[in-house]
Amino acid sequence: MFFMKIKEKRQTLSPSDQTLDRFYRISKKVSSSLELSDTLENIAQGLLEITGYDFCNIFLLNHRDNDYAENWYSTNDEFKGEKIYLPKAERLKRLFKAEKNLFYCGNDVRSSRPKLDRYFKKNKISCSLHIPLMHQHIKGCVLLDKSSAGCELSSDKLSKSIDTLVSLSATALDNAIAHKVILRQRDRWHAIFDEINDGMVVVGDDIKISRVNKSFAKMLDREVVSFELKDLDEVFFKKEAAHLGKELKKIFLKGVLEVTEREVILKTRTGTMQANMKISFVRRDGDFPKIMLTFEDVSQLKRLERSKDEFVSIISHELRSPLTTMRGFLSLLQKEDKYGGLNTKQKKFVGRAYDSTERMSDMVEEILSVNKLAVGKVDLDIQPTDLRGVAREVIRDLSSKTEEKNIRIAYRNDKEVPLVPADKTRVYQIMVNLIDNAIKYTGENGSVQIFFKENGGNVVFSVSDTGIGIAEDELNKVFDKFSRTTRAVNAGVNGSGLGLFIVKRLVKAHGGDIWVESIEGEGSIFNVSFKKKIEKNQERRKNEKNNHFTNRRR
Amino acid sequence: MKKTTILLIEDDESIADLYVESFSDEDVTVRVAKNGKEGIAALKQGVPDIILLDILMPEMNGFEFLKEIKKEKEYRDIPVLLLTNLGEEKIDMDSELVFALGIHGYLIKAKNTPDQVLERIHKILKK
Repeated sequence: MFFMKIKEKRQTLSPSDQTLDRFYRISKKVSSSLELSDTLENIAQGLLEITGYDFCNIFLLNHRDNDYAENWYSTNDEFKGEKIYLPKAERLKRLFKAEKNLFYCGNDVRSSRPKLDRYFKKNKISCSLHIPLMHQHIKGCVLLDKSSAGCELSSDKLSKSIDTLVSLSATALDNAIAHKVILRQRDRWHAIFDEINDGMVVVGDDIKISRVNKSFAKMLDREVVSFELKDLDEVFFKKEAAHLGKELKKIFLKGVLEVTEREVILKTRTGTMQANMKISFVRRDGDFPKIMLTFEDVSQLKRLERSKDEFVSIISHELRSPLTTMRGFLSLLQKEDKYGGLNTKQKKFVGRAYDSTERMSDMVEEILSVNKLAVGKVDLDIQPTDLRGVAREVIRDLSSKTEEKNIRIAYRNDKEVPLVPADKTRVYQIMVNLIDNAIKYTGENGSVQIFFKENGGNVVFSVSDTGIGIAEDELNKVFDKFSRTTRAVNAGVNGSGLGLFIVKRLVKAHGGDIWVESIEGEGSIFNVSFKKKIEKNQERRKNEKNNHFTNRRR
Repeated sequence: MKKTTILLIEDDESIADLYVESFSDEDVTVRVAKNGKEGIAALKQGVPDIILLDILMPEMNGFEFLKEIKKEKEYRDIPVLLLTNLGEEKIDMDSELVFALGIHGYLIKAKNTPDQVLERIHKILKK
C-alpha cells in the first residue's frame, strides 16, 4: 500500500521537481570520490547534463604565480594538459576578477588567445559559458560550450543550480587535490624511509615489527614483507629480543626514552651481523605511538677499525726497540762519572735528545694502551680500594714535578672516605693522569686541590687546578681520542691528547662517571665518581677472576 | 763476593750493547747470545745466575728456548727474566703468565731503564 502511494506520487512530480531530483543525484556524484580524475569527470559530466551543453573544459590557475591556466579536464582532445598564459587572456583574467559567470553568444564568442580562438572556430561554438571555480586552494574556471542552436539557459533556477553545482565541484576538487597531496607525501615519506641508508624498523605498542625499510631488508638479505607483524626474535637472538622487548614496553608505558644507542647482533638470512642500534620514540597526537629502531651496519667499520688498531699496534711495538736503545744510550752519555764530562753545549744537546726520546716513548706507550682499551674489554681486578691511599701514592710519585714548579697540593682530609670496589692499578692510572694534568696546566707557584665527597651511592674524587682552563665549546671534547684544547696547544704544553681518553675508558669500565667544570683562564675541576657498591656484572667478573686464580694456583 | 753472571739472549745488537754497557761497572758479568740456539750453547759453557730472555728472535725464539731448558734438570731452575717489547706490562711477578711459563719476571724494555732492569735482577736473586 505504502509503495503504491509513493509510486503514484513520483509520477506526479513536476518538471522542476525532476530537475531538482537530477540536481541532487549529480551533486552527490560530484562529491562521491576522492580520486582527482574521477572527480573531474563527474563534475564535467554533471555540468553537461544539467545544462545540455556539448563541451566542458576545466582550467585551474597555477597557484604559484597565477600566470597561466592549465587545462585539467577537457572533452576536446586539443586542450588536454594545455597551458593558457594569462596576461593577455582577457576573458580568463576578467573572469577571475569578476568572480562571476560570463556568458558569450554568437559573434561574441572569440578570444585573444589563439588556442582558445582556434577551438571556438573549429567547433563552431555558438555559446560559451565561463564559470569561476573558487574554493580555498582552488582558483580556476569551467568553460561550458555549445555549438548547437539556442543558447539561452532556460531559467534563473537553472542558472542558480549551475552556480551551486560549480561551488560544490570546487569543494570536491579541493578535497581531491588535498588527498592527492597527502598521498604524494606519504609516497615520498615511504621513498625516503626505503632509500635511507640506515636500516629502519618500526615497532608498534604490541612489540611487533610493523614495518621495515628496504635498507634493513637488504642488510639482513631478506624481503621487506617477510618482517611484517613478526616478533622481535625474527631479527634478534632470543636473549636480546626478550631484553629489548621489555625495554620497549617500558618506553611505551612511561612514554620516555632512557637508553638510546647500543651495539647489537642481528640475524641475517644466512648468518649474523653487527649493527649500531638507535631507539627513538615517536608519539604524535591522533596517532598510535611507535618506536623506531635505526640500524647502522658497523661490521665494515669494525673491520677497518681493527686493521687500523693492528697497524698502530705493530708500528708502536716496532718503535719500542729503537726507542729503548736511544733512550738508554742517551742516558749513559749523561753519566759523567763513568764516561767523562761533556761540555756545556754537548750536555744541553744530549739532554734535549733525551727529553724528546722520553716524550716519544711516553707517546708510544699511550698509543699502545689506548689501542688495548679500544680492542678489548678492560680487565679489572676489583678489590676494596682506599681512594685516598692511592691519591697519596700518586702525589708522592709526582713530588719531583710539584717541587720543580713549586706547586702546592692541598688536600681536604676532614672526612672518612669509604673503600670502593675498584682495580687499584687502574685507579692509580686514573689519578696519576688527572693530577699530572693539573700540575702540567698550572703555572709556577700555583695550587692543586684534591678532595673526596660522598654523593648518594658514589664517592666522587675531584682535582681542581688554577691552570689555563678549558673553553666552553671544548669542554666535552677533552675526553676524545687525540683531542687537545686550543689553549693547551697555545700554552706550549706537550701532550698526546690520549690521557683523558684513557682515563674515561677506565672510569667507565668501573661503572663510574667523569666530568669536568672549567672557567677559561682560572682553572678546571675534574670529577670522577666511583660506585660504593659493586655492580652485578662486575661482581661476576671479580668472582670469575678469583676462581680462576685459585684454581690455577692451588 | 762472587760476581753475578748474566746470560743475555737478545738478537738486537744495540740493545744487547746497551745492557752490557750499563751493567759493566756492577759486580756483574754479562754473556750475550743472539738467539735461543746460541743460548743453549752458552748454557753448556756454564750455568749463569740468571737468564735475560728476549722473545722474538730468529732460529729459536724465547718461548722455544724456555721449553728446551725446562726439559733439562740442570737448567730448569735458573731464574729467567723475560725482557721484551711485546705486549703490555700488567703482568708482574705474581701474574698467571709468569706462573705458567715458570719464569721469574717480565719486563717491557721500552718502559724500564737498564738500571731498573738491574734492580729487578737483584730482587730476583735475593729471594
